[in-house]
Amino acid sequence: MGPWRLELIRAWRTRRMIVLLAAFVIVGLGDPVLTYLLPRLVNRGPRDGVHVILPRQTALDAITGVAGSLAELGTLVVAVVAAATLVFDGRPALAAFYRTRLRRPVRLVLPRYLVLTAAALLALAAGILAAWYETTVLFGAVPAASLAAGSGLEALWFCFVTSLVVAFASVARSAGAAAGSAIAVLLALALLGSVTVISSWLPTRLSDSLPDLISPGSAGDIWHAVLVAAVGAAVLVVAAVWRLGRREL
Amino acid sequence: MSALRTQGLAKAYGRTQALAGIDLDVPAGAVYGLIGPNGSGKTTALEILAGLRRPGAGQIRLAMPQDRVAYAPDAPEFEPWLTAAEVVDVAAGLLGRPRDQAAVADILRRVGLADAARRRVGGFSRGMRSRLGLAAAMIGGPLLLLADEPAAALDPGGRLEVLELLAGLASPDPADPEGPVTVIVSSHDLGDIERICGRIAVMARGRLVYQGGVGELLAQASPALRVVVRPPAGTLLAALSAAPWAGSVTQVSPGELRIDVTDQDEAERRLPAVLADCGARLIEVGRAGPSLQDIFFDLTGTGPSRAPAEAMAGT
Repeated sequence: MGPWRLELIRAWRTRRMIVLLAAFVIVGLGDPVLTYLLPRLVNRGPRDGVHVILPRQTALDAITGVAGSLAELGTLVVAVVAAATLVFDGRPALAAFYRTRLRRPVRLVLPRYLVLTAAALLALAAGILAAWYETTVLFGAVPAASLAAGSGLEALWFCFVTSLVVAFASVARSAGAAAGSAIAVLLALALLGSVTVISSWLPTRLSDSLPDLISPGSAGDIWHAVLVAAVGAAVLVVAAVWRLGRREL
Repeated sequence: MSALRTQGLAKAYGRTQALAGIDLDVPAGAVYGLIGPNGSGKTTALEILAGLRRPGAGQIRLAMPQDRVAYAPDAPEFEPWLTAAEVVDVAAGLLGRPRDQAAVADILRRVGLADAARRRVGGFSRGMRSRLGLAAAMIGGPLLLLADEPAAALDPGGRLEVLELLAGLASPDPADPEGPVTVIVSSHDLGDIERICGRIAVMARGRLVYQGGVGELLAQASPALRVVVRPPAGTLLAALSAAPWAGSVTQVSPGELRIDVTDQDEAERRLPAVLADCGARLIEVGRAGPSLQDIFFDLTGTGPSRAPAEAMAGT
């Protein structure tokens, strides 16, 4: 059994694939329903004569809700699952099993990183398909081409997240430390995003880019973030391979 | 010919000198024992040889490529969601060896895990994991097998099986063009080492305090045998006194003889015939004087006769 098949079996038997799929599909199905029911939920129960008037909810609102949940819950789930998968040296005797057989660190890192990232992207695709279906049923048609383009940007964001985790997993020796460090950096990036000068360059810009592509004219500055995320993801993976090659058990 | 030679191999963890320049010379096809108290540097040495740690100084010369060096740690771990057969299959696959289910089944049978081949490893006992660790190490066709305390977690029967398995790996097989496997085994159990190892290295505080044959080491310190037969032992005493390999023979108590030997090898070969010729009813035979354990305590500066503080300092 080679490393690629091993990683596919890992994704399935550890239930990590199911956790990812469940999280994304729940977001995809649940958020449009919440958006649809929002006006009724807000005005439900005793209100002391106050009636809240909300603008009519649209497909864009539903997709914005989905994008927000993917950026928060989706990112958190992917970071935790990725850390649990990508910490190579958490158990020294198990690490010895792999390291005495896969002498080149790239053979240790790439199959696990790529299969995990592919699993996250598959879950994302399932979540967005669910969101598209639910939104179409409840609100009417969503432009499919724009949704597909937005999904591509979301996919790049999750590639960046898994790359960040693999970089920390090459330094940390526990899943908790790797996940915690990666989430801390993602939060710091989100805070930096409030500085308007650099916000368009940060990969976090991609995490909620789905509505921007559906809403015409608001995605003009996204390409800076695409460039930074793509280059950053590649650099982080190379750094992880380099670091694992140098690190002793 | 040496399978492995090291020169001045050293390793420090911070201020602690784990290895202080050791020169190992392991002959090809040998079962080579690495013994020493806890903290003497055995595991560090094995991990460096396995390529898991980098030496701080020194050289390693292997007579084979690094991917033909296998390592079985003292407490092996595997993915709990794999079956035993899958673990061995993965071990071969990661080395790039072709898939061979018959070889996997054969290895599992040899380590005594044939019945557990389809069970997930998560439910294995430590002893079963030790056996599986050996199976995973053996599958890729290694030419040098590094086994760290391979029998530590096993019951007496299991110990014997595993030790015989390791000794068997190093036995020449005319059908194998690559020759026998060289085995380096570390152990705390001197009986295990004495049973299967022809050569040993004794380590203490990161240094090599002895390297050579087990027989040579024992011969240096215990050139005497103790024979206990059912009394009377007069005829045997006379026969032994006349043997050219016996320096002197004394009767310590009725039926118990101490033989100071001049030629250890000859004594081990000839003694059974003398016993048989005299019709002696043998109860016990062994070494008189210090055992390998006593020599080990002497060399490493440890042992129960030492004051606890001193013994602790030595570990």
